[in-house]
Amino acid sequence: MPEKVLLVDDDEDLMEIVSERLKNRGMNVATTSNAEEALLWMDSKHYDAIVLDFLMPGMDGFEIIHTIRKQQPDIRILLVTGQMLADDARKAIRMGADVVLEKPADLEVLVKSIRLSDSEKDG
Amino acid sequence: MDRDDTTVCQETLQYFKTMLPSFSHEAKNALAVINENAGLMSDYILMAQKGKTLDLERLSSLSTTIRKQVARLNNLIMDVRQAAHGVDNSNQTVCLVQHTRQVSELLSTKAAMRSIQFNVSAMEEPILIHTRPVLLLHIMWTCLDYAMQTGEQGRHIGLSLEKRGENALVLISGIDKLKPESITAIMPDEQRSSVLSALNAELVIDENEKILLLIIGKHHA
Repeated sequence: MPEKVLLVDDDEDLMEIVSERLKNRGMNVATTSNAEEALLWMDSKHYDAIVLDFLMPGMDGFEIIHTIRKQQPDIRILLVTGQMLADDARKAIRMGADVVLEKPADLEVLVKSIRLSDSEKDG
Repeated sequence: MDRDDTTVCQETLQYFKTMLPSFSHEAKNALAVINENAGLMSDYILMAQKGKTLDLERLSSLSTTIRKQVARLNNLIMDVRQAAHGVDNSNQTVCLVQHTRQVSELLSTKAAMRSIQFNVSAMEEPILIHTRPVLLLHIMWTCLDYAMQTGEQGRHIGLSLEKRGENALVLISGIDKLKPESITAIMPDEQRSSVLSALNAELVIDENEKILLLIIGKHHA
């Protein structure tokens, strides 16, 4: 089964390309540039992983991690960020993020991090 | 070194402390776009090696995006380099239009976080002033940052420039709850007095029009 991934980033050009590259690797990808919309979608659909830009308009990154974790306890939360202090990264992990990747991120690391959720479930 | 000089040095450092994280964020975003575009090109090459026809238009579009991001990154680096040179020489002739563009661009992500949009009036004619560039950038940054933090999210903040007699004016509009005491909130009295004195400038609030004016005087090139 292809991994179901939700990609959330306000940079639509970047999101479109990352989406295409993940699809090229056999993943089923949904995209939105709106964090609130992402939360709505997660109410009704199941995703294996969410890849989230930590800094997005009108959104507290820590709060959204907390909300996602409450909504879907099993989802893999991957943060991609342009700037994050070590303390904030640790806080994000404490709040429920699984992985924090710094931009520019290596796509193969991102793919491995998404697929880890499947192998964990299988194991 | 007197107290004013010490304050000016501290404020210069303060500018780099607040500006560099924004620069880093913008630069990393540009690098991320370049990285993913290059990665997608590699994906296409691998697919072509397996027999899939290359979409030349798509490749050309990726290449254009990379070039745009390289230009964006180059502008950011030149801005920071220019600011760094501004520390060496106390007074330089600079273009106020270019400095305004620089500050508003570096603050654009921070503005987007609060769903705030800068409406920068068309400023095609250069406005040359002889001033201390880093302090000018710092006071403009501080004023815009204050404008963003005060009031509702999802607003428009106007930014325009004017030449009025011997003075050059920076006008920031669309600031909620602007009062005379806001001046102290923008920058504490001692720092503000030293910075404005070094710039030969004045910070004025027009409460009725909800406009913050930075009036830079006399040091025209």
